[in-house]
Amino acid sequence: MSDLEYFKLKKDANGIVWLTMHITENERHEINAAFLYEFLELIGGIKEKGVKGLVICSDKSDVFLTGVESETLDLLANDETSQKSMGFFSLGNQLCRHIERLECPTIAIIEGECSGAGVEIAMACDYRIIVDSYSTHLSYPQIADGYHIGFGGITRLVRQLGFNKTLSFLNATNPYHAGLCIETGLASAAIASYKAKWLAEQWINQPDSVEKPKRGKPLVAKILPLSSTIALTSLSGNIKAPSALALNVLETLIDTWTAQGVDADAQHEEVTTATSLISSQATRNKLYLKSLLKTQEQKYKQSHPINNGSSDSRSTSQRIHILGSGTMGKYIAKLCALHGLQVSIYDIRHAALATVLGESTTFFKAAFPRHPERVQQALDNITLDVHNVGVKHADIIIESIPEDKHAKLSLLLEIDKASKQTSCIITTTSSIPLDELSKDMVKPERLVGLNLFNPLFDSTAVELMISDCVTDAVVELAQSFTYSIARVPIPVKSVPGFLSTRLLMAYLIESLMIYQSGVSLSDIEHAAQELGMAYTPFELIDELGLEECLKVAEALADRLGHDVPHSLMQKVEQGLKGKQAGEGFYHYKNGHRYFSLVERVRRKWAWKSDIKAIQKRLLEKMINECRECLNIAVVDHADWVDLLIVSGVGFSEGRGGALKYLDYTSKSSE
Amino acid sequence: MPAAKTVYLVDGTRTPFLVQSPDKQCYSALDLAMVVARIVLVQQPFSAQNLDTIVLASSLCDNSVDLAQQLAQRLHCSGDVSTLVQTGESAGLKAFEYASQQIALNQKQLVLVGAMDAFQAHSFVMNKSLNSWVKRWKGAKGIGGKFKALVALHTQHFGFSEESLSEYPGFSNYQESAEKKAIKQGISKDQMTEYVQLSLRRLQYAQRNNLIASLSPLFYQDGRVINRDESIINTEHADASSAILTDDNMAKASEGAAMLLLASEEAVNQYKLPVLAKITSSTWGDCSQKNSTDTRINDAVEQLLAHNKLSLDQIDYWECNEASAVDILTIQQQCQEDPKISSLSNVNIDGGTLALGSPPSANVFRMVMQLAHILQRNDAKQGVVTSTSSNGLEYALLLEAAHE
Repeated sequence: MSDLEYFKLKKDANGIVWLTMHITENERHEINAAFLYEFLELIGGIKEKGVKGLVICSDKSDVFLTGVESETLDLLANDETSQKSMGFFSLGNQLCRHIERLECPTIAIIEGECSGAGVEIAMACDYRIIVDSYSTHLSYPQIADGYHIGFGGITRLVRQLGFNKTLSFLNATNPYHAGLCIETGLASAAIASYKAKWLAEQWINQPDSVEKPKRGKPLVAKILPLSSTIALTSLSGNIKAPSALALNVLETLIDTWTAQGVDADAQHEEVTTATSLISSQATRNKLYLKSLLKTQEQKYKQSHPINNGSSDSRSTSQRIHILGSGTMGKYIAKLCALHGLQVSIYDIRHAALATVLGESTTFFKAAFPRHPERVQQALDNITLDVHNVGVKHADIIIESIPEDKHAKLSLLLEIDKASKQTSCIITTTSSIPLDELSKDMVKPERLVGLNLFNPLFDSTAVELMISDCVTDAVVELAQSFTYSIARVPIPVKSVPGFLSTRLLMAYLIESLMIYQSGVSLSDIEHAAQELGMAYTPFELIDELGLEECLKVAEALADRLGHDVPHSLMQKVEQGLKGKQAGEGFYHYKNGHRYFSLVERVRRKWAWKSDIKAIQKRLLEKMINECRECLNIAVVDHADWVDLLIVSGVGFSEGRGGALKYLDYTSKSSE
Repeated sequence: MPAAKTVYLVDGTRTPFLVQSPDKQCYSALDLAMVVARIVLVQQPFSAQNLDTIVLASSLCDNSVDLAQQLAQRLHCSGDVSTLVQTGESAGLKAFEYASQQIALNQKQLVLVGAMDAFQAHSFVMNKSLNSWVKRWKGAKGIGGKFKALVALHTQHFGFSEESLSEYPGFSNYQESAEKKAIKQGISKDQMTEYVQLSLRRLQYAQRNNLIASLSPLFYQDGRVINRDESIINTEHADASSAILTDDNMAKASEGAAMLLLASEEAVNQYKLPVLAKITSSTWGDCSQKNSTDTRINDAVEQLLAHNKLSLDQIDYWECNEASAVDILTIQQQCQEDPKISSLSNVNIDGGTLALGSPPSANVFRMVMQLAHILQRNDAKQGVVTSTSSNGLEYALLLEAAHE
């Protein structure tokens, strides 16, 4: 064959064409337009010759095909005329249609990660053979980013799996592993890697030996026109509520199906929806934030070619010791164990330690469904340490006791004495400046702060607080630790409240101030929701705990001169504690918010304030705080502010962070 | 043959000893070993990769799988770690002896040695007749054959197994000889009960004052924590049976795990390991050959003292395994010339097997560790661990405190 850039083509004696994708440009097999052109040409060639069957596979064992290459994606998202994106998507759409219409049987052997474009291509084939290995999984993460690939695969999914299963797949928090793929009907067979090719051959040679998956119009599709929102709310309970961006994508798709029916027309229509979605402001912002993280990570990996958080060196590498098994301590322990780091966790209370085992088992079981041996492996990484013996030889020591300055001070002193001198000490404080905590330590230069935003957010970007005296070696150690638990550290200067806590408190305090001025709770909540905040302010306060909130507010008031809202003080004085205790700004029953009848009536008939005005106040406050932080150089670039306000405060991803929002709204108003 | 090297006891820990109970969610033997091994390793400056040998002992467990190999894998040991599992009677003693020889003679640096006894591997054992019936059922061919086999099934097949696992191995053997011994020495039941009470008091004192050597609590999935040895002595009911040996004054089998880390001198220097004690020498004896009344404590101890040119009163502390109160009371009677032993003031001072319960193989590790801690605590020099297993095998081990 002529020189192919992205494929290896082999036709064997039986007339079966083996198409092996090998994309050398990137590790993860991401596609671009040239790839699609070449693919399309090849399929055209196959159509003419007497080919008995076509098998598509990848030359790598850990990846089949993933999303769109970042450069191409950039181009598509920022394409003003949307001609390029239209061209790109219709090219892919055409390719998939050609694959589908090939007369010979087509089989995709999926081994390794398969997402987005991979799913689209695989769905165009007649059969899918999934290799049963740890690394093999299917997912569609692009939905959460606010777009879809638009090759018609999602409509094909609906035709094959039905409506409910498709929505579950698109919304799933964990990717689908082999077992689940078979169960849902995504793949026709799951088989060991060395047998996959043999099975594909057999299926092509004896077409009767396998039942062809049927593609029909699901019954649900006919009822679809009733309402897309009903369909979305009927998503079964085990699925996380989709984010605003994902909801937007799904609604667009459902509207298409409603208008066109679930058939070839809808498949074609996906081009239009994909084009409009990818160039929307919200998706563009989300992609921008994502690319920020990615470049940061790549920069780190390039400068550290050996230690890039790979799991191969797990047992020889760092030893982690955690003091305090509260929510944060347990979360870090779970993350470490999940990523293969040896971690010991200490708490003075045995009862608190006792919960670690049960909770992490549930956590790992969810992370590795159907892989009890991996659950076991992860659990083996955690050592429950009642005598605090792990502190002596740990490389990274994490202090995660409750936010109390004196308790933290004395504990850090103890750690400083007991640990080895080369270790890095990480504190999980959210408001107290590091200099105040490290002032009595013998080696204050090894204390850094880390804010993982848990339990509120589970974001990839985390805040790494670094004071001026910290040595490079310690920063290095802390950074490599955060990368090895798959988090991207954003360096932040050590000032009171750092960055995210300060922004978070600005949001909460302003909400409380508005509340004090006589606006009803529900109005403020409504306004915040409309703004696209991940959490409404009072929900957030209840979640954090009122006392904790007040402590942080006071800490910031002492150091920065922020207000301490008296309504919060009142609530705390009344003994209201928040969600865990069952009562805060709202009432909670079994961990869920509920309203009494009186409240419901009151909420309904309360005086409605001007929502726009509230939103404006909240936005202005947050934007001002962001600019203030940037002015005193808490972080060195406005992008980091945006990233942290999204991941640490829950600012709308679609708006792309406060400063970015200010930037493009002021531009458009000019 | 090169000269034997000194073996250092560096660290160790054990789980609380638990009473068997059917309704509890349990640890498997391997999980128990994992818990203690991880605790021992987390205290060390080196990682599991540096371990040379893992030796495990287990008396109660099914030995069809190589537990030590599995443990090595789960700890992420390096590929060339050598492993060994000892099973059967006095497995703990054999494992310990093997482990210390690895360092003394075989040039190994770091050896992890432990034992674990868990019951739940077989809470129900098929008796022989049911077992043979099952074989017949499997062999039967066709519907007719199966039917015949089914007809042959009889209620007698469902009797309990004769060999219950919850008892001390070789138990009935032992009981007879111990009773003989008691009658010969004129030890009464009251004396024994008194000793059991003493042992229990000592244990409780040690527990209250945190004198029990490094105990790692066991955590369960459902949030339970067991952080002290479960009490096995029922003080309220008095046994009225006519037998001299009753349930109360015999050691009861319990479950638990213990793990020790042994190191050579090179390893101690290389990693600057804190040393608990030196394992100086050990001897084996056999009481079934001779008349045991000739010796003062037992044959193995006599040999050990002779070999190291020591006399009884030079030994500061004793840890004696007591399968029953008879053992310890016999020693007391036979060592009248040594006031400390005859008053039991330096024997099992933190309570012994009778009060604690005895996982058959993990117990010896507990004794070694406890003695090391007693020596350290009291600034003493030398101590002896001795054990007589039910088949007459005697073992004695000389520990020397590490401080110069």
